[in-house]
Amino acid sequence: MISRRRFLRAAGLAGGGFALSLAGAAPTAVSAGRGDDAGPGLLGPLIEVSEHGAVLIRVFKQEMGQGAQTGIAMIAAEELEADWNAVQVRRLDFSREIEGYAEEWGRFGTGGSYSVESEWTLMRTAGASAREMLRRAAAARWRVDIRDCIARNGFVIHRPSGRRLGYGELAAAAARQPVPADPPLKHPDDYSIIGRSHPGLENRAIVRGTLRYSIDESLPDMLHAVLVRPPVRGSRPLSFDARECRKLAGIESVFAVEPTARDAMFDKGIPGGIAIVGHSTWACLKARRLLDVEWSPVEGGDSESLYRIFDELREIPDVERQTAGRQLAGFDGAERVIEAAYQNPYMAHGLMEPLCAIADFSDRKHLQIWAGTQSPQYSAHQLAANFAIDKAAITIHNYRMGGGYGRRYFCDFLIEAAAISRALGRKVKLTWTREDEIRFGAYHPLRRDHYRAALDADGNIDSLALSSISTHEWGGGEMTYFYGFNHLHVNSHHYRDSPVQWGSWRSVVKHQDTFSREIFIDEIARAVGADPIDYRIAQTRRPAPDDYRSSHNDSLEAQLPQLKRLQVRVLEAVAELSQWRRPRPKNTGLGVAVSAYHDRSFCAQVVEVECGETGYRVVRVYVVADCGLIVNPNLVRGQIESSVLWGLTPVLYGGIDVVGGAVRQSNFHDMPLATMVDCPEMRIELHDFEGRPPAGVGEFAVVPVAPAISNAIFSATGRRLRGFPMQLP
Amino acid sequence: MIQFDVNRRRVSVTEADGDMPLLWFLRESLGLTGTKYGCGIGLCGACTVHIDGRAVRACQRPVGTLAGASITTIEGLAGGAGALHPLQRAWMEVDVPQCGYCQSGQIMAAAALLKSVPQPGNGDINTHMTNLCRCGSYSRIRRAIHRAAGQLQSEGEPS
Repeated sequence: MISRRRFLRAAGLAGGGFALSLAGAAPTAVSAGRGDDAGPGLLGPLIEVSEHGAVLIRVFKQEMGQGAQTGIAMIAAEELEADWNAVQVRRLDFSREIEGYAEEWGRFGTGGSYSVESEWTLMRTAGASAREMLRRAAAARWRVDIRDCIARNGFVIHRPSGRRLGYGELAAAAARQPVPADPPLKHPDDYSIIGRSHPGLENRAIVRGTLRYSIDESLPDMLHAVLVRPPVRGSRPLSFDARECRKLAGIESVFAVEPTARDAMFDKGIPGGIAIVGHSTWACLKARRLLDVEWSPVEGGDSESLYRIFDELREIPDVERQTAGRQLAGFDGAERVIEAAYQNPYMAHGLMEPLCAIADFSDRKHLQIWAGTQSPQYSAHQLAANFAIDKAAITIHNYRMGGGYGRRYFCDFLIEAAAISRALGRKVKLTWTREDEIRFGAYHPLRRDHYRAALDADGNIDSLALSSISTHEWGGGEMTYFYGFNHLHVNSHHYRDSPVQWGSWRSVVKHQDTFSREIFIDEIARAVGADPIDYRIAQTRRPAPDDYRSSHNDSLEAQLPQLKRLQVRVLEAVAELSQWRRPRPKNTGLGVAVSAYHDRSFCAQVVEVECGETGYRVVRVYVVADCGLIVNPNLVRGQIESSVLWGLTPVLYGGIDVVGGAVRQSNFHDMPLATMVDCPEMRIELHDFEGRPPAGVGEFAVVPVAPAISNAIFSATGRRLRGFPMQLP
Repeated sequence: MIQFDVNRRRVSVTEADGDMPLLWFLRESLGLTGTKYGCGIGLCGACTVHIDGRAVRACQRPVGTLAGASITTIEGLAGGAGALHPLQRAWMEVDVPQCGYCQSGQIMAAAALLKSVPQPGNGDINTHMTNLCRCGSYSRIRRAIHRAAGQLQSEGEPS
């Protein structure tokens, strides 16, 4: 357990304010046995109350549109009893001060939909500690019993007399109070900020166009750069002719950047290329058109042929993910076996803000980065390793990201910017073009799933087997089966010869796991003549075998009853919301899918499609979600709306094709995104059926979209679509 | 010299820079970074500005073609300092922005739409609002446009 007394520390601020910081030795239980990092000093404050009563909340988690900073600020403000209108949120920069602390906590990365969930306890405790200190300061000032002093909306009020003092007036005295070891936390019934739909804290700057993303940043003495990368992985510049480039006004330098080998996530390295450096991005872009490079020829693979290769490889065992009962032997003598294969192409992120980083590595010893990154801490480690400098010499200034979705967890763009800055001895801003972003992505892996099920005489699943092959080691089968079975075998194979870089694409492995599982269960339901929702509920209610084991969840036995209950609840609720049993016109089809992201965030969706002679249209999406306690309902709805569009895009427009090792797509004309016209009507219902703590909301609603659409198209047309894009002839 | 107005201020650019897209002139010469670079081929709409009152994708307009033009960017949409256009207010109230990067372009496209169609239906919105939003905030953009249109009608405020 955490010793709160040791990890929060108070300090006064110049002018009479009060700051509560993470400080001191890291929690004993976590740091035991380490001994190298004795613990940093005071970390940048988590909560600051100014002498005027303004509240500044600093958040470990980065903002990329998922609302984490607003949500996390609300959690701290709730316990602080702050006046929400007085609250501002600030990003924490990565620096040596934060390193020791964040390393212990793993907090300084943003991904996996963990933000609110992981900050829930820390930020409530910090807010409550600050509030208690303000109360104590007021009680001391008035010389009254603290039990008569309540904190409300930025004031401490003495109930018997009605006297009140604003937080600003109390801040200096509060700083001198001891930090409470175990501050009382509010009862959820008393929440006045959590549960409200407060709009995003940075909305005003965004709508006025004044919010600075890293691509908008301009620093003194900064040069601009673009990088021309090799078209195929492993290719090198044999020669290049930059004479025409250099003649252009505003071009400073054109030079080769070596590939980078050392990054844990870039298994085949970061490609390097030719850097063009000048006095503006526009000058570099113009020069780029005049650059003539001869690249070394490299034989690269094709994405299309991978599916065939995967089909041949599928019986090769690799990682056994889940087992139960007699495993594959359960199929012996089976009378009724259903099987089907499902395909996921590579997919790119299409971040609206192309990647961009400013680096100052002029002295080759100290590195400063200005960028929007999901992984400041991981990036600092990679930068330190790549350039053989001390992590303590690295500072990363964080920016709001113009989309992240997993792509900005990868730090290739930071390493490139640092390499260019080091070579030049100047501060440089590296801007990626849209073409760079699409062609040098970190792609959702290409994957093929092969499912088999043996059914008993009543149509129940007796044996279930999944063999999954993916271009990334995470592979398949990371989901828990809430559906019943007697025998189970889930196997995944990692195909190591991907022609392109793997990546984490919003909802990551769950997207692919759910895609195949939720279409397959639908195929079984249809095969036995059952209603798809009734069949899912009936199969969910069947108990799992006692020996059900999964490589991703070691407390399945304890959790399964609740997980099964919640899956049934969201399915029942979505049936009602969508009026599932109401007859629809002949050309309209309904399809359902359900998922539980990280076994915590439940989402059931019913999709309504209209099919015509020229194809289909996704008209309506009904969403029922249970992701525990809802911190900000409108924000969660926004994430669901966003996720539906994210899930819809590859269904309509497909993924990325690789031909001869090169990505065929290059911009939004050949990698379209869903638009206003594609946007379906959405009806969303949020529940917390069993009073659980908050669970992630950034990705969970992506995963049921594609399988639900496939199931709806089947329902309308009888045609079963098992890959992307989904097209009707 | 080529001269034109940006947000009611006269600016000039040399003939030699005539091929520079308005997008980069705004961002790098004037520091008006509310106009965003998204695709550079006029598809995504993140760089939408008004040229003589019409929504235009700034990455596709070389400054050499702009002599005498009047340009409004997101920074100049509301007029005075601190003021907000009804669309900007609606965007905040509906809580449209997620990552927010495309939103200045979306608002500029919506402002041009309301000028030509003060009470747009969903069909008008589908036709005019072709800007991309990777966060998929489309249903809120739609709501915010209806909300602002309603307010403009009741207030009789010029858009």
